[in-house]
Amino acid sequence: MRGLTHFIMGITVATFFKSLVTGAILTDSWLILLGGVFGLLPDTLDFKFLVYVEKQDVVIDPDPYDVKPQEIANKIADEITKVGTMKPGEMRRLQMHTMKLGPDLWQSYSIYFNKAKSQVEVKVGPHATTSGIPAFGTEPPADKALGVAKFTPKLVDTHGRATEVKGFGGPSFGFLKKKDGTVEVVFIPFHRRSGHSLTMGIVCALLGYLVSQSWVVFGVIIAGWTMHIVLDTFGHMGNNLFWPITKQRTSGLYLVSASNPYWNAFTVYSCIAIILWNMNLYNASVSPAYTIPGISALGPAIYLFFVVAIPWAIVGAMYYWYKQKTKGARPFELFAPTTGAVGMAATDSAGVQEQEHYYEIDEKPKPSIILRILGVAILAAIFVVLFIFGPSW
Amino acid sequence: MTEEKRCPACGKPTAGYVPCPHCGADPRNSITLKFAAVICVIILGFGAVFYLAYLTTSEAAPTAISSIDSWIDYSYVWVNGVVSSGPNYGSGVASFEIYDNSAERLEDATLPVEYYDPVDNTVPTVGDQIMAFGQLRAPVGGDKELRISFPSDIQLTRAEPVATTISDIMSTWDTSDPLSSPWIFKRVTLTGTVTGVRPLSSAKIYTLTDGVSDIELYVHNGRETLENRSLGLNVLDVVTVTSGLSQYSGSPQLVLASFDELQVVSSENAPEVEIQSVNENMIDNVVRVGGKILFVETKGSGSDLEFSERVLSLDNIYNPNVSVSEDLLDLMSDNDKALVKRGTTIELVGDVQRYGSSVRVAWVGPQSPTLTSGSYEPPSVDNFLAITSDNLNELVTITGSVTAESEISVGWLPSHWLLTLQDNLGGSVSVYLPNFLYERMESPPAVGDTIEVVGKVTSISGHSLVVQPGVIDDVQRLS
Amino acid sequence: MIYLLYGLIGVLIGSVLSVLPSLHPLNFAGIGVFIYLVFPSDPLGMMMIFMGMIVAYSIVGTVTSTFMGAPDDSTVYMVFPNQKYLMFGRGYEASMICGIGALGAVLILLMIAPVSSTIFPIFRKITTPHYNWVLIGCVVYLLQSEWPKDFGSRAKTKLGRLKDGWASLGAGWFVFFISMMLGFIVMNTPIVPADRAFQNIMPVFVGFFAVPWVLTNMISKADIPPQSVSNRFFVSKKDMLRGTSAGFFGGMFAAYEPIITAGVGGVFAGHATSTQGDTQFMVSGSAGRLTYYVGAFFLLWVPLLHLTRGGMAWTSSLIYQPRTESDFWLMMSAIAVSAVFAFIILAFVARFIAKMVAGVSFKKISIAVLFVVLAMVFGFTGFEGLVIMAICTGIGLIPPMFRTRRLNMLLGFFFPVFLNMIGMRADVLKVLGVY
Repeated sequence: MRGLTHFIMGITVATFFKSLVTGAILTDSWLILLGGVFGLLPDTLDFKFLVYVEKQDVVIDPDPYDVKPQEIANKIADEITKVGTMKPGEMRRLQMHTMKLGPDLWQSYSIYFNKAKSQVEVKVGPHATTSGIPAFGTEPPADKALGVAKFTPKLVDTHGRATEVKGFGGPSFGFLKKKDGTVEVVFIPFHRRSGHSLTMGIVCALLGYLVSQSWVVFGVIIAGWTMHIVLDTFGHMGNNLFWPITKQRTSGLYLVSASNPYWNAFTVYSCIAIILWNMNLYNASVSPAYTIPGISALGPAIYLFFVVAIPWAIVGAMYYWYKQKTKGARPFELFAPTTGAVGMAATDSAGVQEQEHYYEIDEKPKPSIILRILGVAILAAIFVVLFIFGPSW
Repeated sequence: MTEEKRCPACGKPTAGYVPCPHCGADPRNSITLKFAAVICVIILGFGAVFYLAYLTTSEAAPTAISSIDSWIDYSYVWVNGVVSSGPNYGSGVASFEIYDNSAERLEDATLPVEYYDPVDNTVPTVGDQIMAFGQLRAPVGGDKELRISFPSDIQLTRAEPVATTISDIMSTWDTSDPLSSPWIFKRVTLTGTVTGVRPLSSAKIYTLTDGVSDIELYVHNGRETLENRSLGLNVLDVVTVTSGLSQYSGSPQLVLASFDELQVVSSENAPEVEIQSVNENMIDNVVRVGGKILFVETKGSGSDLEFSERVLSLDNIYNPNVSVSEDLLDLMSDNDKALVKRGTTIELVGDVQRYGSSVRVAWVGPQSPTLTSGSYEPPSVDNFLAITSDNLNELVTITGSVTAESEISVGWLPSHWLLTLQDNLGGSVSVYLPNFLYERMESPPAVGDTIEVVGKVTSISGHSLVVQPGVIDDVQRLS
Repeated sequence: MIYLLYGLIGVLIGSVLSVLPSLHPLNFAGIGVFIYLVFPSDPLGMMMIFMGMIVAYSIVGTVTSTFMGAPDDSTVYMVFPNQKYLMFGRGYEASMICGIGALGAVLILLMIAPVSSTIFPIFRKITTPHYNWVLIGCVVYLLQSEWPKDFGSRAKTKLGRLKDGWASLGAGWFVFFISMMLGFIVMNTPIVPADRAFQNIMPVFVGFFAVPWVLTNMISKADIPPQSVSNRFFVSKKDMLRGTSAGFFGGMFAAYEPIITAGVGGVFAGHATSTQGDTQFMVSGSAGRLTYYVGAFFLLWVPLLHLTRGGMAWTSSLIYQPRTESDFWLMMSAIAVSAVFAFIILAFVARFIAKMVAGVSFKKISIAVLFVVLAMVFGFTGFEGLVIMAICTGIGLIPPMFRTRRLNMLLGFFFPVFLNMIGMRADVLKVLGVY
């Protein structure tokens, strides 16, 4: 989910704590913001710290004026093969760098893990801007456009499509030897590991308690942090829940797409509705001037039904209708040859959104329905606990 | 789809690709000016509907005073009700209150109003129906008020006065439930006799009586400033007043909005009585007394250094005293106030009151007593040993030198002082200087000073015989 | 009907002023009061003129941001999509897309008008005691959510990579802190002459945003290409809808919440709705801008609310406060008519300027713009204002150089106001050692 979604979800769980809400009114306390801060902190840790201290076993830093795709492909394939000979649980990390030609100009290239053919395919594209608009006429000659290299072990790639490398920093990959002998491609391996574990959340909460001597502070930190983990688990990329006891990321529940704007907007809107409910409820203990008793009298279920469920049912129906209407339409329609560098450049042009349903991946994990239901049930249970016990915290 | 195909946005050749590889334009997704025109038409449609709404709605929607609270601090509101108190005038502002019956409790349905730069004919008075617009202030934990800045924001319906009597008002008044009175917040005309005045820091409260009941008449001092004159009332004036009826702490109170609304119809004369003839049979009667002031005794409040009253002895120390409260004395001009001293012949109107086992005459205001300057010195006593308990309450003049001084502590207030005064014959007597006199002396007497004291022989706690001066001028340092 | 005419007059005045770079609605408010004092007129009519000016600024003002700057590849990294479109020959299209986005925001505003006197008082009642922590929360989120914008560190050590990554973030924090110090000084020390004190923020805004933009544009070697003035705009209805609704909610949040500006509201809206692509960004920004400025003014007129937000509302409330529900309906109908009129003016002005600028050296345009900006600042705030502007320009050049958010300047500059609202200003000043 987007950062704001996490932050506001953290604030939402914080507003269940009556003492925090009334404290914010009566004493201008900012403790309520701890929910938001620690709700966003896992991603802050990952993208502001852990990304820089990640171990880099191999670095791919091509010369933008002399890109050798075959060399790149060879290097990557060698790494995969090497990992195939390692012990299960071991990982090699590969850092890809971008190639900057100017303030808003990049030499684009892409990496595709072709599982069917057990080969790495590196394609060099045209020059492109940060927002992905290619500079027509800058495609490389055919002999410098493609590099293909074979690897030995069976590869598992849940991403399923080519990764564009252009603009700002490049991605990193981890190649993880699994118990069954396969090698899994782990996209940005630093992400959602230690920084997204429940254990780290407990550590932060304990630190908060030690500093403040308040169990409420402990509670709001752990609540905000946990909600981040839960929301992330709903996506594709899971978390390493019990680091350092567990070593690897789990898979997500594939219930939502983290970057899907509608899910983000829905979550933010629902959070705001819940925040207003809690404000209205707890304001009453400070002054009747700040509360509307009629809203509290509705009860949370009816309130959420009318304020959240109905509007989003309407929006959801419109979204579903739109999706059905545009089903099957590819973002790019090619009216020119698809072969050659130009064709490849057109195929791989960036500026693409919402593509996931165009690519069906054989090995895309499909968590069992029971796990998915459990995930939703855990989220619901957290809210039920907050609704019931929050007024006493 | 040829190589010459050009992007409709930037015009560059696209070789058939969409989106355009140069500018990113996707011709499959486009809108035209027609789309904008449709939106404009819809907007104008809304505009037309709202303009119709403007033409058909014109009434201001007042806000109930009881619903006003800090969450609408700083917002602008209409308030509709009746003026329940005021106007009081300050510098560039007129203050009053509005009551709108939106709550059971009077306080919950009353809103103070500050009207800045008031224009006279738009200033409301008690009883007027008012619809006012202004900015609300309702800070958390603070006082609510409405601030009006423009005369056009006040719509007044002036109340017509109704004739009544003081007894009628008082007989139907319930102090525990003022709102039940049929006269509350009405404009009334009645007649009464002025029997007293109670000056406050910002107003004067006159007492009117119709012989059966009394009622208070509130006059804000700002009115005097505005009209550049004083009301000029005297006790026993019979007045007809038209004013609104408000309440204060549950009691009814007439509020005078303009001096033009009070006419002195006549003036009653209090019966003239010799001061020495004042007796218990005259208690609660208003009489006119006079005489030469032999002594003015100042009394302190006890809780601070302020004077509470002056007690005048007229003609004879054994006559009933005349007491005048300090705030009534302050109503007099400085010249007249200065004349209230030993030796002046005074004629005044007072109310006979019981005072312990005897009676005294209490000065009632407002009045301008007759004052004729004069002088009086009590008999001089050269031998202080001749002053005994037989001389209690007598007036003496003594001259001697201060041989000792001591303090009488009174808690956190400055001490009273006791001076030992010695005559030429070696006799001594104590002179008691209460703190409210001592602290006002520019240079109080000290040991070694020769002073003359005019005072009353009295006793104080712990000292059976002292001479106590009445005012500061009763103590003169000779050397 | 005369009041609607006042609104149209306001649109005309605002359109002329909007084309001038560096002017801000606060300046418009000051100019409006000046007009009222020199030409006293019906106060309600004056309010319609204010409204017209602010609508024009929100709609016609997109011409300034589109056509007054055009980068080449050496400066384009700091540019908004409007100017990218200009370089693609689509400047007219960019202005019109923004204008349609603003119209969309007007439409949403009109749609919620009938229920505004119910909804907004509810929000106000519930959220009034929570303004303080919400404001601080906005600042905390914006500071925490800024991600590093490095190009991939080539440092061999972890510490080296951390240092590279934190260059932009550190610059962001530095900009925030130094802007905060500037805010303390400018808002508490009478630098600008007292008779022009109501414009004391103008040189700050100009220095933070306008002058750095113009300066970097001046080193551009580009000529503006010929501009297409086709009436076909390449944006999907879906993008229009998403951008408009995101912009509206962000703008209304900024309008309702004190101190928060349109830029901050736009960032929140963009994050909440995952705004993607240039067109959504343009539409959202324009819709947010209109909702912020016109919405803040609108909140003053909502019956039973009469919330004073924004410089225009504060300044205009000195002249007139809305009294009846009919005032509200009149204002809404005037907004509707004014918005359509402003859009028509936009179409003509954008078309005219699009034809004029083609082939013109962008450096010359930038120099001319710079002179106008300097003259405006000097005219409004005197030499002292120019000094403040120069200092702010120095600060304003840091974000583009270090790839950090310009928003940090705004957050830092207004942070003293936040602190004042929550009663912590003196404590913070003591900690900083300047109290």
